[in-house]
Amino acid sequence: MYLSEITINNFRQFGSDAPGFTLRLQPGVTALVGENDTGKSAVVDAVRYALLTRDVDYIKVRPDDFHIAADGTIAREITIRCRFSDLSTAESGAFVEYLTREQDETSLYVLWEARRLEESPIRRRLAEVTVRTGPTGLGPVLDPAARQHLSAAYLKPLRDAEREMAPGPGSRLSQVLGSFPGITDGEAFDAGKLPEDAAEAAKLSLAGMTDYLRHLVNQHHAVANAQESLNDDYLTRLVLSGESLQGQISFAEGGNEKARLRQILERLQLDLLEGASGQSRGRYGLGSNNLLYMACELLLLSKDPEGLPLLLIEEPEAHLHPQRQLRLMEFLAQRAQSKDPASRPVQVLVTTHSPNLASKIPLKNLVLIDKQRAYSLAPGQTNLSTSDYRFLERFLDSTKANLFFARGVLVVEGDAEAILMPTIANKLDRDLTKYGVSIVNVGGTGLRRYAKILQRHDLSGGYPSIPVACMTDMDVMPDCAPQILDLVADDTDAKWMSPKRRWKAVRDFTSGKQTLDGRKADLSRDDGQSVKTFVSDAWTFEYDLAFAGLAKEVYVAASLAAKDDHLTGVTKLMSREEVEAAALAEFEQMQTAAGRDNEVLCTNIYSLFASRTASKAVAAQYLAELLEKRNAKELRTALPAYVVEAIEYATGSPLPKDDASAEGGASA
Amino acid sequence: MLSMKPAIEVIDNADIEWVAGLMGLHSLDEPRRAFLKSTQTIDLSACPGSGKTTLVVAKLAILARKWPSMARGICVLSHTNVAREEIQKRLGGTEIGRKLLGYPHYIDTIHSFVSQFLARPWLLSSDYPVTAIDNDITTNVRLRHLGSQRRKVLTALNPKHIEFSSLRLRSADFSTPLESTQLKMKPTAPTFLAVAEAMQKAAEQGYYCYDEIFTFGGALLDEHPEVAESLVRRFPVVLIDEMQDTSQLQSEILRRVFPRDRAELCVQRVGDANQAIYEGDKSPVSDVFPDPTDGRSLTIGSSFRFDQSIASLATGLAIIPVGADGLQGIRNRKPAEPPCRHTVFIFPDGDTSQVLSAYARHALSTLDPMVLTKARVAAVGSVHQLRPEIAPGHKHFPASVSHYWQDYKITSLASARPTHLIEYVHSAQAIVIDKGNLCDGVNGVAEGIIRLANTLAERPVLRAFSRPHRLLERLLADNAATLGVYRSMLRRLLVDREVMSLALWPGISRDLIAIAEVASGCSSPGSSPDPFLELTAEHKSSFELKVRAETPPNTYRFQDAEQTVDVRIGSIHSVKGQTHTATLVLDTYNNGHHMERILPWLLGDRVGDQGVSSDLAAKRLRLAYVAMTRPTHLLCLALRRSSIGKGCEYEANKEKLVANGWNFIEL
Repeated sequence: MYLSEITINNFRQFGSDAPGFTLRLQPGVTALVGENDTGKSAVVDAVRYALLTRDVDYIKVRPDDFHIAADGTIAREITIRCRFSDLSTAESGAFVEYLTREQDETSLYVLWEARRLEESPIRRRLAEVTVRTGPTGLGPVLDPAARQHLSAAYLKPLRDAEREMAPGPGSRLSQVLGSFPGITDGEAFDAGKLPEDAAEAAKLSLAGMTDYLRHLVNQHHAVANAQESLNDDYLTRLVLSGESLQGQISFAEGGNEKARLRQILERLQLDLLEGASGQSRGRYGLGSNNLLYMACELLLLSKDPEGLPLLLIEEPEAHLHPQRQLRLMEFLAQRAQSKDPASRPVQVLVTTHSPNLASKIPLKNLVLIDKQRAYSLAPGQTNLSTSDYRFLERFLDSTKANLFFARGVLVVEGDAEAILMPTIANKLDRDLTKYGVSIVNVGGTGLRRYAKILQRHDLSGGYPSIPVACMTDMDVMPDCAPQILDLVADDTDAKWMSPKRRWKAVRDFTSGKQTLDGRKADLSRDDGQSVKTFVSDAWTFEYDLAFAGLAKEVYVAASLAAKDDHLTGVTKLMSREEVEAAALAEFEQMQTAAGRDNEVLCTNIYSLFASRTASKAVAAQYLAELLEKRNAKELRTALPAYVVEAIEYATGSPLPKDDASAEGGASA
Repeated sequence: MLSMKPAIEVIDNADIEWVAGLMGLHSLDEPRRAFLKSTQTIDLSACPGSGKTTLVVAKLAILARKWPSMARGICVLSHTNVAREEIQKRLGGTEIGRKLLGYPHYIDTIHSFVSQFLARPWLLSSDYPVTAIDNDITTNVRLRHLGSQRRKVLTALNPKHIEFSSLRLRSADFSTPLESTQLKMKPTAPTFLAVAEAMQKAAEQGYYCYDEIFTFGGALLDEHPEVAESLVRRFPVVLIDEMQDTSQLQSEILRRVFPRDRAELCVQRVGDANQAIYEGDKSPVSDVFPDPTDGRSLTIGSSFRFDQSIASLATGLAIIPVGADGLQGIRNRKPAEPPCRHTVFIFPDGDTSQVLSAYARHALSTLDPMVLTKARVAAVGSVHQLRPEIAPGHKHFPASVSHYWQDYKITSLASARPTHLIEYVHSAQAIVIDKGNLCDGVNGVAEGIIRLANTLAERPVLRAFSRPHRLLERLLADNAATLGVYRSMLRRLLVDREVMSLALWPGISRDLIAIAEVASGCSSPGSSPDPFLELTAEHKSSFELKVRAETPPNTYRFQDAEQTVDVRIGSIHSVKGQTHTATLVLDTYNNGHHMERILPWLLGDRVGDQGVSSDLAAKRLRLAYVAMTRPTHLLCLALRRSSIGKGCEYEANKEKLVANGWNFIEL
């Protein structure tokens, strides 16, 4: 049995507009990802409200649990519905009177409803809660004892693991141990037949041992003397004649054997020891205690033969460093697939803000929460193909996993864009960090696969509103370029006709069936929903930057990059100013040589990259520095349109149309 | 993870000692211990007064104490809530009792079980509402759906002796609710089609009759055989009480859900086939109770109720022999207590006038004065319908208990569901007085109001609800005035317990209607008063009875110079399960005079099923057996003079009766 669906209406962020909030879950691990305030914690709380938790936490509906609509009206009724699927015979036996039989499967629906009561000063209760069964609540009321089997183990965010593991009434450790197999083993204590030696005493059960201890304490001479003194010297002198009062000092006693066992267990505490030495190392950090705490919960969960093995963890990354986070996720995933009959597979629902964790969890187990909707990334739900899943599971690392927590995403081909786009955006007053835009640098391959992660296969449930701007190169060089780059000798070179040719030039698109617009459309063919592709106007990012109006800066940056070793090396053979001055002089010569042909000029500039004389990434760094110094208004007119459009799209709105941009547009 | 072994493997003497201490049980003999210890599928035949219910409760206590699971439970099924009430009474304050009465265990009637675990799930899964499961309401709704055809249909059914109210859905496919045999007409006949359509419409609105839940339960098992598997998993131990009263429908569905040949399932059926006196009590041959297979049944033949003198008189009438030694009476007579003279009263064929007084006088003379102060003295017969057409001198006279006492009235059975609003009020008041807690009474009144609301609205506006009071409170929450009326009504009826009277009722019913109107959001049509609100002559007379508050109904009070004794008169059916101090079995007529037909067994000429050739003959024996095993002290029979024969035959029979232990009094 596992929790397969959660439907939430009128709870906190979640309203009741159709189609409403529905989250479908897979067995095993599910991670809720998404930026803040989208409702990840509300989902976990909804599950807690509907199913209750195994700790003794009291759940009380609060005024702010009721959804407040855009027009300010407060909802009257919260409904949370949980569906459980895949019930074993034993489980369907336990819930047989509550089950719903649909076409080809049998499910258990638990419908939790809270009706807001009219506020009144004499009323302490805010809401009337009912827990019924059946998809629309027409089934019988769920018996509290039956509901207990559904309660989830819950680890709250920012938990104080040390306190949770501390001894005391109702401590988690006592709960874990109390249900541990064999905990009641041993012999009972018989006051008439005291253990003769240590070996016999060791045969006692835990409760028997305290009984023995109590027996010994009560017989201790000091205790007996104190009692005698209390009675003879004081009490008898205080009472009136004829009255009889006797004090008795004794070891506090639990009622029955169960209560006594619980008392012992509540005194136990769990400490961490260093493995090798077995020595207590004093207080461990929050992180280690957290691990211990989670281990304890998992143990409790897997040893319970009858309850629902559901574990809710908010922010498992709390207090854990990245490697431990990864270990934890691996372990949870492994428990979720347990084939061992002695420990049942545990279903885990986590919320996380950690790209590190998100990158470790298989895509199919991720659910993106956005604008009060849940988008499962399971196969069939997204536009990703099987090979896309395999690809992404290999290459989706923690930096790329940033996209799950962003308000906007810029997917770029390489380092140059990744380095330059934040600077450019900043200059346009669109600070990407401020706008919550993540840059995903795909490193040359699989750009479209990343874009498709956020595209839904079935649109009936809506689609994420997070804008995904993909920047990609047109990769069509001007007709002059092949000759400049020595790819061909002249326009009639046989290489033009070679089937092995990988590069493309403009003339390929003027004579044949293919057109430039066709190519552009082809590169954007997977656009749709919130994904939009921005294709460079001509060739590559660097060429287009140069061509649009930054030719000088690109050349200077490329020259600096070409001499980077000399500039930054230990010996520092050259100064930056020297290189820059030389580059500017060369640029003037190149400009003159090219005449008014911008294509030739920019191809010559780009040849520094093409020939790998200059590293694109290093040049991008220098270029970013150069652009920082530029006047923002001027810079905007000098940028390729697709770069500006991509920033506008990813940050959610067009830039304000000022005069400068109007002029810039005209001059371009 | 969960083994397929029986849930409880061993019950030992220590367990039995524990429960004996807990419940204060003494003299647990070997057969009783054997039942307590058995953890296998087995049938228990327990004679009258054997303490069967106590034994079942004791067994449940043992099982609950050792019960290992929180998700699997014990299922205890019966026809009444006696088992549940007994647990509340005997174990109510204990942890074991609380455990037993809640999830995952289930202790209720077979009807509730089928309804809750099979029928309702089927209806809900098939998207049918559940508005009311009630014969009267449903019949009314069906009649309403007949519309203008109503008279025509009823006229067509009349000559075929078919009551419209007796029609039941025979198929879970509501488009074909009837079999052609039910109406004895072609399925294409207009009447047939009209009835079918009305039944379909009522069903689709969620109105069903009690028995129909077995049809739906069967449908669920047909469509989802895995449900039976889940139920076996959930309830590895099943105890069925009063098995002999299980109808064929019930028995069939129980057999499908809890087959008795499954090793991992322990089905224990408890009852007494000799006491099966309800109609339709023929169990299907496939599942006879008690199981005739060797080693599959146990018998408890010793009764704590009476001593051996009564046991010897009754044992011959047991159709199935009670163990090897016959019925044993093990009541301990107090040392000073004189033996009672069990008496046969012989009265003249046409004159019953002296029977009750002679019986009362005999009881006064033979019963110990200490016993008499708390005595429960009864006179019962198998027929109690008023038969005014049969007068003294008629050859069937006396045909009914009413012929022994002219003031005899037929009182509605307490278990029947109320048909009128006033009855909801009455039964709610009675429950409060009886049980002392208000909860059931409050819900009883609320249930009546909800039914009234649905009646006023002429359609189901309020769903059947497990906690009707909560529902009403909720519906009235926004109307403070009406909520106040409702609450003060509860106070008047249940806390102050105002006695209903003709003067009081109009005001009370007006308030109840006002509450129902707010709850349903419909106003009363006013023009034609609904039968649900009417007061029948019987209700009115019950008002008078309450006012006079003298002797309870159907009680004959006999007084001589010093003493008074009340004789309660009723049918044998009505005293099933009861214990009396003294019981007089009256002769009545049903295709033959009862006592005359069983005379060979009274004489000892026949024993058990010897010469029993018909169902009716068997039933006569079972009825007599039930009646004769009621008393603790005194057993009497009333026989027509002619039934014993004439002349020397009379004398010979008299001798035989005396020899068997009967005292003989001729009136």
